[in-house]
Amino acid sequence: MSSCKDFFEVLYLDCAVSHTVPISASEIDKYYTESIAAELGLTRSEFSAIVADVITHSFPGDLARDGSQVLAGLHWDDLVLARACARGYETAWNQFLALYRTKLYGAAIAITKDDSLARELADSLYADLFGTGVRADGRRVSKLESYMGRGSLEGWLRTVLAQAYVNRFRSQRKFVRFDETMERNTAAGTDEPDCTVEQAQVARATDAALAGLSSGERLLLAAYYLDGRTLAEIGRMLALHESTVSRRLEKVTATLRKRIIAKLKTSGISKGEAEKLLELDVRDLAVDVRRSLAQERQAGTF
Amino acid sequence: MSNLPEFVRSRLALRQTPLDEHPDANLLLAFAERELSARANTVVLVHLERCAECREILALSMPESAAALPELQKHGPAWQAWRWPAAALAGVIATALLATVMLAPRRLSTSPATVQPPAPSRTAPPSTPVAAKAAAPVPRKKTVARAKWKDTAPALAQVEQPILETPPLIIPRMGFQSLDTATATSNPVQASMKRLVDASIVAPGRNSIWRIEENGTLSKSQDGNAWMTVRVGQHTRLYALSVNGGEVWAGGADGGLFHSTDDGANWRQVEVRGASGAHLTDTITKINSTPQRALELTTNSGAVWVSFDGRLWRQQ
Repeated sequence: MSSCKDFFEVLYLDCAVSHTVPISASEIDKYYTESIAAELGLTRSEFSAIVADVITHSFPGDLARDGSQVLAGLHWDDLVLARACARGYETAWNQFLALYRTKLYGAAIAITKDDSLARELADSLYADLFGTGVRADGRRVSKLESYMGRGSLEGWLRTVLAQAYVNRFRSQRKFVRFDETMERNTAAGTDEPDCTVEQAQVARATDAALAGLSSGERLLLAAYYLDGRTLAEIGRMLALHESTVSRRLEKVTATLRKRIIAKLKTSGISKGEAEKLLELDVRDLAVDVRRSLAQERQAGTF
Repeated sequence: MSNLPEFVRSRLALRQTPLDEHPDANLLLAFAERELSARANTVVLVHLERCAECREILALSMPESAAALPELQKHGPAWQAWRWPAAALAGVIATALLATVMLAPRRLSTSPATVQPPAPSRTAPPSTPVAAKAAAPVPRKKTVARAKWKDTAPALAQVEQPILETPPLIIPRMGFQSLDTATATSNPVQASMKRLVDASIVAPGRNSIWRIEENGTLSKSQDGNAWMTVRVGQHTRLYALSVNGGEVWAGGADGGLFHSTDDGANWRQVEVRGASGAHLTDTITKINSTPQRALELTTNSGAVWVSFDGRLWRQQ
């Protein structure tokens, strides 16, 4: 580990993600003394190894832009607590349990809305945090080692819980969401060669208008109209006030509609026709097709 | 909310393509907690607009607002209980001050020969701004706080701070200052708890102006207009602040005390422990730097802790 310190002093830190972050031993010392690392039992060399790991696995774009600012913004106390737990320090575990045990179960209940499922989810995460596997060097493999201090430890625990929940849900729903498949097929119907010229034009205009929006605007639309999230939920996701979300949605929807109609008008379709086409429900069209197909089959039996 | 045409919705759904790679928990968390640079933020946004599963993870990982609120606010804002008594008291004070101002010229007019130009500053009635504030109609809460801050900011920026002699400047809202003073003498616990809810704490530093927000976070500003949240410690709700040049002390719930010597660039949590080993676990409601270069903490239970070096503490 002492070689790691020398490495910082002499060469600066050359990350595996092909960019160089200048961080000196004195900077590491500063973060070491200012965090609770020593109180938790972490040595300086262990701390240096943690810093190296964090820098190596941090988001490349951020570090290339302003590495020192990213390091200054890390949640050092949370980071050293998580890493000390991962290394099996008892003081750290006691502190972790005191701080997060109740919160973890609370978060699991908020996610699952079911007490027994919440316990199962939280217990499963506890096992991962504690580390069930063992490495070649004899150390346990703890999930806490993947926490990088880019945000609070509490928030990270909630995110990991949510991921575990969604993964489990996703593995189950593969077998049950027939309706979703139907819906996708129906929506994709406009790309099929038997759709009318007007429908193809509307599809192209809509795609162009959607592409002209920003990612944030499309995220708003997807969260509200596809996921069915409430304004309050979207507000929490994007750190916006509910009324701001509402205003932006109104604006994006209006802009989108205006752009689609403008695009259709350039294709020679009148405004009235464009508005009529826009209101066409593709699912109605699909139902009609299915109905006509069924009628054809019935006719064939005679 | 206006409706999105079903056709547009179906085209939007077509953009939801199954993706092989997803942001890990660190990246999603950094996005949620606004810790990413603009560039990295855009990368995550581009993924989220196409990935319903990551949107779901993000939504599920958000704390529900009710659960995130501290105990003080769960049962409704405490200041509401004081609204009407405070308004009545503010009215009485305004009337009294108005009467004082109106009576003063009459007394002078009885002997015009002896009329002297009013002495500047010291003898001028200090009540003028207070009276104006008390008599003014009470606008909405947020507007009041912002307007008062704007009025005060230029003055604060000019104040030179003697080392360790600056108590936090408390800017009251909704004419509560008189009520605070009145209750402080009769019930210090109630007064300090009410101050937690009703007062903004603002203090000028060497290069920055500091403020504790209503939600218990610390903010700093260079110009009094644009404010930036400053993280100190692990989610401690802050209630008290003391600033001397580049040295900043912030205190709050569960005895949380934080210290920065470089204008808030770096913070260290200070353990407040007496010689007997007793820890401070109450809420710190006031931090005062005394002329004897001591730091004085007042808690919501009325206890006062003093230290001369920030390490050894004594409960008075």
